[in-house]
Amino acid sequence: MNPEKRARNVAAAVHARLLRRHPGLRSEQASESLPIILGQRRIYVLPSSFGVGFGGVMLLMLLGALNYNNNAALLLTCVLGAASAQSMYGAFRSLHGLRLVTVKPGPATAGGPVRIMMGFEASLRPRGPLRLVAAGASHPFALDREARATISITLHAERRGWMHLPALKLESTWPFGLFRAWSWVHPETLALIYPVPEDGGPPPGRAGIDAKPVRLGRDSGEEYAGLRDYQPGDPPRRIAWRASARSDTLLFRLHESPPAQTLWTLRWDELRALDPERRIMRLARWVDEAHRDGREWVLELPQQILGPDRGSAHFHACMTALAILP
Amino acid sequence: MAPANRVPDQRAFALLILSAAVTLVLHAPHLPLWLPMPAALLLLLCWAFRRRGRRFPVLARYVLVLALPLAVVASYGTIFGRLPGAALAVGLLTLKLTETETLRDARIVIATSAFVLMSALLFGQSLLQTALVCVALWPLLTAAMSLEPAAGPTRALMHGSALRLMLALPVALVAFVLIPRLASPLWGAPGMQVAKTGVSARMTPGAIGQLLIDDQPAFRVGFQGPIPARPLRYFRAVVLWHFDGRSWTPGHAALPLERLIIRDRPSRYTVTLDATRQTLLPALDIPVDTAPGTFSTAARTLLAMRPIDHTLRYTLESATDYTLSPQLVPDERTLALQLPVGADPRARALAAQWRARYGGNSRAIVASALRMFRNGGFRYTLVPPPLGRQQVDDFLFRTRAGFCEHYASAFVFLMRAAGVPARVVAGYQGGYANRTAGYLLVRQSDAHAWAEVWIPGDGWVRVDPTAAVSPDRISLGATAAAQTADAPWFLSGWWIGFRNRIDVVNRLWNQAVVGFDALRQRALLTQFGLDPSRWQSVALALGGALGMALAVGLALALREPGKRGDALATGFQRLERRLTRARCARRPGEAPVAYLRRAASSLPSPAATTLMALAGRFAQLRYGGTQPPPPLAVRDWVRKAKDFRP
Amino acid sequence: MPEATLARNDATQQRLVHALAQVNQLLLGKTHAVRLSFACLLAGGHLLLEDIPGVGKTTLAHALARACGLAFQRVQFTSDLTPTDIIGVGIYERELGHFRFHPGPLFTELLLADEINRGTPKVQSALLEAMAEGQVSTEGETRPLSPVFTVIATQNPLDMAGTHPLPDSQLDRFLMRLSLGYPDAAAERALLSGVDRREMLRDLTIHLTPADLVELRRRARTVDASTAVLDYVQSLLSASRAHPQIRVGLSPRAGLALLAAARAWAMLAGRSYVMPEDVQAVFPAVAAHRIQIQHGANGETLAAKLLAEVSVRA
Repeated sequence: MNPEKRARNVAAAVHARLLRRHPGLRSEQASESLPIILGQRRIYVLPSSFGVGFGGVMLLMLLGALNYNNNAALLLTCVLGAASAQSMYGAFRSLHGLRLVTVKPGPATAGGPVRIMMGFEASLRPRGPLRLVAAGASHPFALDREARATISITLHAERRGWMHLPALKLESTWPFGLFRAWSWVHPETLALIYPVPEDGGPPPGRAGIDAKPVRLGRDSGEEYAGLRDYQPGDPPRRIAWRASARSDTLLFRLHESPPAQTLWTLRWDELRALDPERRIMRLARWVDEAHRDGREWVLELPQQILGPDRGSAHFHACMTALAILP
Repeated sequence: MAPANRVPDQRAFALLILSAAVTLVLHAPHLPLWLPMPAALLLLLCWAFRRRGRRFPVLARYVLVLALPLAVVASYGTIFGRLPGAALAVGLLTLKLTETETLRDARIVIATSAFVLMSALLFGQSLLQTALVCVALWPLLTAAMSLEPAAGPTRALMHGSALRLMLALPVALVAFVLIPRLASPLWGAPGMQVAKTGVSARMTPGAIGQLLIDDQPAFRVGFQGPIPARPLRYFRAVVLWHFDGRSWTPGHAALPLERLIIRDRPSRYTVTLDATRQTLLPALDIPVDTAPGTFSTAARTLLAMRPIDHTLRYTLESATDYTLSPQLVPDERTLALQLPVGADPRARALAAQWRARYGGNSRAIVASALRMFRNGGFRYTLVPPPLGRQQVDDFLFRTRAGFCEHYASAFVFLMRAAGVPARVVAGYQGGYANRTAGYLLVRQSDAHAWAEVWIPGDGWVRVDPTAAVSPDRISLGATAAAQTADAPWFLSGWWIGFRNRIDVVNRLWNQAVVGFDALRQRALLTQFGLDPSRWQSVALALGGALGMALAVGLALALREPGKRGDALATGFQRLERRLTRARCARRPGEAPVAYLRRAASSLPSPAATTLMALAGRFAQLRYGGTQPPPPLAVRDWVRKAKDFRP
Repeated sequence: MPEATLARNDATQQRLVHALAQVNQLLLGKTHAVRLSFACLLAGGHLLLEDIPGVGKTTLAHALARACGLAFQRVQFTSDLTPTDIIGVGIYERELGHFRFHPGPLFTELLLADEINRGTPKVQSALLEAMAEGQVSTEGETRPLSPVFTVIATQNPLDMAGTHPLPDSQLDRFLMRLSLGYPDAAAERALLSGVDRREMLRDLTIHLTPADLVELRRRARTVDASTAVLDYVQSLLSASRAHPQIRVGLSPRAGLALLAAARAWAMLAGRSYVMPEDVQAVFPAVAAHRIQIQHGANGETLAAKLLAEVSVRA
């Protein structure tokens, strides 16, 4: 083995060992379960570019003070240097002991934004503001009086189904921006991305889908809801003659007519003509429509049947089922 | 991603303006007159523009950027050097604020401000100036903090930066002591000409006597014996032989050292002289020896080998009862009778009169001259009327008003015209004796000029014509003497007294900090067993100290204290730790009181009763109607909880 | 100070304790649920009982009304029930020559709305509106309800066919949602061998008056909640908002409800200040129906989970 190759091997081994010992050093680490606690092992501190520049200026000041034997200027430089060195600790202390306790993805559809709410906690000592860097965007935040913070970041949801979160960088340059402390976290939480509903397309009834109307209530007629004075233009067949006989004026019967309730049965098998993704998109649109119209619907998928039911819980159950279809 | 593009918010900008304004104020005393006010106005404008959410006009900025160097060149003739450099730096800092649009710009302003702040100390490193510059770091660091996103309220920022500055002081002091000083400068000439006032080797009575209202300390004298009485405190710095009708200069003749006979025990003293950029060293009349690195002129004034760039300390012995040069060598006599040709005929005529009346009786001639000054309507003032071409005549017969330089000059002229050998001596007289600290403080305003006449048998005799006009000048000092008529208000009596008293602090500062040069550093480090001649040992000490500071900082950074000030919570946490060790840990989400009661139920009876009582009391204190809980009750609970053993 | 208030009004407090004991006797083995329903009443909130038939929902409502001396009305919700059926209707009276308002069952002090999910949305919203406003507007006139007007609604969670479940957004009109569940073996045995509950109901002593209830409610509002408790409530709220299995967390109104219920609970315990334990006791009942959960999760389970996850700071 030639020495160059050996040196390369050694370097690779050292690098691997370093990464093993310090998982926070790289972003492509394995995801971790919550809560993620930022211990000293996974926090890294280096001067920021401003820190390097400012250090240069201070070096200049030091040389100038020494050269001109100006002790007052030297003292000033020392004070400034000692004060700015604390930036290193400030940045570290802002991150140290921080806990990522909750990661909560919001509702999202494929191709759209997905909001991820992240809850942080820490001990009650004062700590500087932090930044969460995700997908190229920096989200500054500070913990509140109770040492808690909830921040939401927006990621792009590529496709339906379970989405892995990218590695996130937590960093702080508190207090003077001269040093940057950072740590990579990779929560294992998955975000559920709903399929995007089809844009346009036929309604369920006309697409050969079984849409049988069902009546609700015991009697199928209109329901009596009260009396009021007759006004010109009211249909005469609704005048309550018997009640009017007891009064001086004509009374008019008010009726309730319940909305025409139809049960939609949305079947996967009925859409054989389309490819699976299109089917999912169409079903998603129908589910969405049914939910918005306040209907009752059944979703029949290859493995399961959901409903009949209505309401948001049913809606989310259906969308979840559609999202995780293979 | 690039946070450098973030725009600093209005508060950050206001803080930047504030720190730039403080920098401007600290530089203002030595900036050309045209700069400070417009710069301040420009800062105000920047602030106003930013408040309204508008940008500074680009055209105006370009014009100003072009105009600044031109104006500096117009004032100084160059843009190089300390003064033009300072003017340029302050101007550029101000102009940078007109285009501070991004975070990057703001950070450049901060770094520049720090540098310009430091450069203010090149113009003087007094305690006050240094303290002011250090305080000026406060808004600067606060501005840096305010640039952080989600930085919090301003008050917290001010508090945080002040705290960090305080924490920085001890580390800074250690570094200050240990950073190796350069034995010789790396570049440039540190002793660039300074407009430092002080007694110089040239005296022009017609020129404005700026020196006399300069309140800066010139030097301090620590006596081993008692401090001499005020009338004896004449410090000679230079002897002026040659008069050209306008100015007195030392002349260029090589004379032998004048003989000195002393009649009392010389007193020993140490002078701490602030940098003068000259070679003159004041010494109490009359020095009997020289200090290392100095030599004596023929007329027994001391000179340093090199211009004095730094505060210098030297120890001398002086006698007050003496005879100087009982015999006058011919060369000396020629010099001591030199007069410019044809100048001041009226003075010459007066002197000829005295000569005719008293003949060779030098003492009588001196006496008549002093009598004339005392009774001839002469007046002591620090702001004399200007003198014409025939300076001495004009002074003696027309204005009759002036200070020591005028009197010494006219007196020596008269003496020489009357045939009495005479010379002007410039130096300091008086000073403030700080009895508590045991030293004499001599200010630039104590600068003085007097005469020496040669009298056969007595040698050179000191004659102070100013004393004849204004005895106060000798007994009280120049400013006090001039006070009756025309002292500036800020030099009133109590202020001078106050300043004299607090000067002891300045002296300490000068000795401990400003004068802490390579030599003193070596002396100090040797005391701690370091060998400063080997750089490794100093580097080791510096590295060790910095390493220790880092370690202490890291230890502090890793500390996780509980909620501060909440003794009840801390006490509960201690109790909880104790119970946890006794195998009774709190369940997740369990409330404190419920936890204590559950723990009590698992304990034997006496401990259980105590714990139940503690739980009940804790509930009352933590959740009861009196919030915050009374401190005494809390302390009582904490004590009882501390005593509890499961 | 509140301790002194408690002492002065000790008689009222005593009667409250008696009323509680009496209802407990009637509903064997349901101490927690009974206590919660009392707390709900004292906090001035409405109660939703979600349970299968026959576990004592009606008995509880009846007993509460009886023990607290409240006028009681019961409405069975059906699909043909109209708003006027509960609000009342103006009927023309010939001898008077104008319409006279005949108040419906709403104008009572304690209303049992049985099987509320069988009513049409129209009736439901009429009731919910009355609950929220404390008054009804009908035929252009605004009529105030009783100051102690309280609704106990029941819902059968299993038999959902042809029903109109209350929408999520309306559920938080109810301060608490409770389910009684089956009694334990001992209680069931006592029930079987004991006297008929209906007879016992009739024999119940009236311990409190509506005026007492008003006073008790006022006092419940003055129970102290220290910053430690407020902090805890706040952390529960924020934890509910951040929990991955919860779609929509607790609202600020839910926070207020939680605090009000905890205050009433503390008062029932004879304390003049709230402790985190009080908050924990009422939390599932107050919070479970207010959180909108992911598919497949259960509100009560999640509430319990939240309680276990949010640490109580000393």
